[in-house]
Amino acid sequence: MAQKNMLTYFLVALLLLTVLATAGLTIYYVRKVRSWNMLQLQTAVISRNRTLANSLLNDAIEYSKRNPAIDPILQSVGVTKRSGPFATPTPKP
Amino acid sequence: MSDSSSPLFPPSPAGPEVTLESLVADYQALRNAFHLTLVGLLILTGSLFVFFLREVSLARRQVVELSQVVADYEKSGFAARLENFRVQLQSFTQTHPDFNPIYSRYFGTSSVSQPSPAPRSGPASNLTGPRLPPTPGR
Repeated sequence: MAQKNMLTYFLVALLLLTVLATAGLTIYYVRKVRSWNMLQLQTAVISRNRTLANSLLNDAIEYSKRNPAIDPILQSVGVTKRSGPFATPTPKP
Repeated sequence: MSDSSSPLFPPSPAGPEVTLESLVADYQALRNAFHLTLVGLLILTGSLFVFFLREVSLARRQVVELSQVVADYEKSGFAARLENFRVQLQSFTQTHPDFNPIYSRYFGTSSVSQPSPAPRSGPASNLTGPRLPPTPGR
């Protein structure tokens, strides 16, 4: 009889342990996902900034064809009329 | 209160006789059912644990990758160069007002006190306000 009780206690203890471990892991997972979402938002903003900066650069280069007075500014950021400093590959989302 | 006289629990004269052996058998069956339930719950929570373990591993890897991307961006000085470029363009706009529409389209209104012409038609022309924040995620 005592042996049967031992089995019950063992199973209950094991279940309690597993439930606690799963609960802890779930909390950790939720935190990780939250930080992952935040980082995803940041990389989206980075990607958007790079795209807009390239667009601005292209507009400035177009403008420089009409008004070369902007050329020193373009050259100061290391821009030739072919390539720009912002022409870095966009990060993977 | 006597249960034997209660109308809720009437004595069952036609029912089987409750013996000690039948009680022991029922108890054993109940214990077996309880053990079976415990084992089922163990399997369920164990599977859930393994599932979350895999998900956590995946999420951790992705967090590391994205952190690397953000760190590279901050290390590259892109925001500082962009801000420098913006300042130069702003001062250029003051001497060349015809550049104002382009400047306003990307950075909002400039400090030049003159009416800005209508924005150029295009997919980005309906955006208002500053469109290039200096640094993301701060």
